[in-house]
Amino acid sequence: MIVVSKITKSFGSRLVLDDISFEARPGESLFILGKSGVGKSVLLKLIVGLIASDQGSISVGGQKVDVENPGLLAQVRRKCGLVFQFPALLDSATVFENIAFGLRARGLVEDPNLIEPRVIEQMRTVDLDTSFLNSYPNQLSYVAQKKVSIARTLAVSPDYLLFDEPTTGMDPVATAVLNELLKKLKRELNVTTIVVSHDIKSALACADRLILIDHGKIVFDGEPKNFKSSNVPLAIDFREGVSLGK
Amino acid sequence: MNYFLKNRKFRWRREETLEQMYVLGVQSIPIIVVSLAFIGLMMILELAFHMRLVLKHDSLVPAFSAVLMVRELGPVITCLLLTSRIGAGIAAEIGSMKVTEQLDALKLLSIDPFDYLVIPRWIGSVFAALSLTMISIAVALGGGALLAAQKLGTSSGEYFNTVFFFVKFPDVLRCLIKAFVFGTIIPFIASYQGFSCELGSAAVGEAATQAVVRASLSIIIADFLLTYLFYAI
Amino acid sequence: MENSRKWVKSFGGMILLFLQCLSLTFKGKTRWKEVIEQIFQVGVRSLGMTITAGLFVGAIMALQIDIQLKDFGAESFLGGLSTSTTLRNVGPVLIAFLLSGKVGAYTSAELGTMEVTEQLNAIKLLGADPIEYIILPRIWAVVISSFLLLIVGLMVTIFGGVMFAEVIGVNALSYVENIPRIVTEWSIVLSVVKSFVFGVLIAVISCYKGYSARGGSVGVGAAVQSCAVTNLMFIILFDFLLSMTASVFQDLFGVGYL
Repeated sequence: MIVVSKITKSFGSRLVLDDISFEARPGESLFILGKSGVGKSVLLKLIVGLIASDQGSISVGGQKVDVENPGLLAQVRRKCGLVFQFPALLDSATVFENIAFGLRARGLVEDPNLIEPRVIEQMRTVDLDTSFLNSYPNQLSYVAQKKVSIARTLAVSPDYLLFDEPTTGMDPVATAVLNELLKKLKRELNVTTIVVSHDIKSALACADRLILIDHGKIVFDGEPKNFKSSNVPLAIDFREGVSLGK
Repeated sequence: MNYFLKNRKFRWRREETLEQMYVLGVQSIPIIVVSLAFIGLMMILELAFHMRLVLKHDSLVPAFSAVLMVRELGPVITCLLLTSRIGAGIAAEIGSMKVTEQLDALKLLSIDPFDYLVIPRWIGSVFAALSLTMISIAVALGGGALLAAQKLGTSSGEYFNTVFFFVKFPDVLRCLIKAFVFGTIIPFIASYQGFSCELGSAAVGEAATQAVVRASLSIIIADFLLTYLFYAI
Repeated sequence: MENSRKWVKSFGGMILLFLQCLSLTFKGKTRWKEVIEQIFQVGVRSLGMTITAGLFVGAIMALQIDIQLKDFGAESFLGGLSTSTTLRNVGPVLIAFLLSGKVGAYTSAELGTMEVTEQLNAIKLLGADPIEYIILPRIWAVVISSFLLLIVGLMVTIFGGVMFAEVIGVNALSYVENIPRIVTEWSIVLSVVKSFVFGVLIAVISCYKGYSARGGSVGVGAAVQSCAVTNLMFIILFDFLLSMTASVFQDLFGVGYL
């Protein structure tokens, strides 16, 4: 379980997160929504300790996230996998080397011969054509690159999966593909998932629970079906956006 | 390249020109001044070493160092510094304007990108090159005077006397001509790189790097050609 | 004042990076295979430019010194003086300038792009140290390539000087014969030391600027520009410091005089 407690974060004079508190319960798929550029990605970086909050605390699986303490931080990071908004693949390494990176860096697989089967297993999990094993990232489509990035994160078997804007900048077909993947991962892997997004359709389709952030504060925390009837102003805007889009 | 050849009439764009003169020239002052001060000091050291080695006395060190500064290192090093400071910037600015289609937008407004972008930068760059070369030579000589006093025991009076005796007007003129030429090379090469930039943000960075490298190499080659030209005359 | 605080922070950051890399190297964590790959990427590209520059710099210095010496009728010293000045000073500085433009810009742009596309963060999260995996190999590659390129460039300047001497009617043989009379072993040492130091400077500054790039492609552009300027300033500064040290050393031990 991830517990976020009274988190406040400012960048200069901009208050991005204001007294944010919530929990991500085991096995659940939690979507955090808000307008673009509002600081939702900041939340994910706070959870894995890439940046420090001004106030408040976060604990991951009982472990406190402390940016100053590299040992504890390494333990937190072993439990969490973060899939960035941009694939963030190493350009000069093949798909195989990218996916295997975490396995090698952490020495998780003693026998080098076992690495390739593990990598192929991950590629199958994310529905990625295994013929891409020795291709380079720039030879792949954007969606394929995203899948490699997810496979890389899954390879190290995290307990918690964090996604930063997974469907942003993708066409509707690609978005649907990714949503199916998210649902599949939830079914098969039983990990706790936190997805930060502004894509309301994906959220309504995949989430167990929805959190809406407006001006740095949480204005809604509940199930998607309640979201559909919520009176919160931003929720209404988000819903109208969807129906207008129809 | 088409831009440069087709254009005959230049329209004077006052605001952009003044802005470029400020950005390229005035803002470069601290970096150039500090750097050239060190060059001046270094010259005295090296010349003292060589003079003592060959001629066994060092009374001519201030004169030689001043002459070398004025004829060679002053314009060249100042303009190489200027290239790295403004070359990448000009190429990147124009390159990203191309990539974001602002150049097309200008053309549709009947504004010639060459008048609007290149000419002001040319004037600004030449202004920067000329003024900074003069300032930096002054600073380098000043620094040299201090070091000479310390190391060679030359008083500042002696120092400046020998300097003005050996540095003649043609030398100063050649120095300014070099600065003018270098100051022209930078914005034209940088703008060309920007205009011919391919689409995509990686290409803008590429254009900027190419601008600096090509302009720097061109300055060295031009320096050789100009020096040879002056010498042959 | 705001600016000077930024400078101090940058400077501190660079020293920190330098020390981190030293310590990682001593712990034997350098990934030499990557270093060799990077040397090919970075070094080989710059060879043409270095040779061209070397030729012209050698020629320019020969020309300028010739002009000066003519006034004194001391033309017999041309070979030695021109080579000595070029090797000790003008050569390393000008060639390092060009290298910082090409090699430095390439490295800072590459690292900057990796940083703003979160590749370096991704590496951190997967349990590896980006400095060890990505930055250290590049630093070594730039140090080694720059050093080798500078040496090659300096040798080419001698050649350039000789060729030009022929052009202006100075006998090539007497030019070359004069060299050992004036170029002392210590001058060569100084030249080699400067080449090494400049290589380290270009490496650390370029990698630091790339690593600390922030804010998308605009940030990368800013990092590359800052890298170019910072490189030049530090090259000039260290050129002076090394010459100063040599000078003090020479005064103390009376070396280098005929």
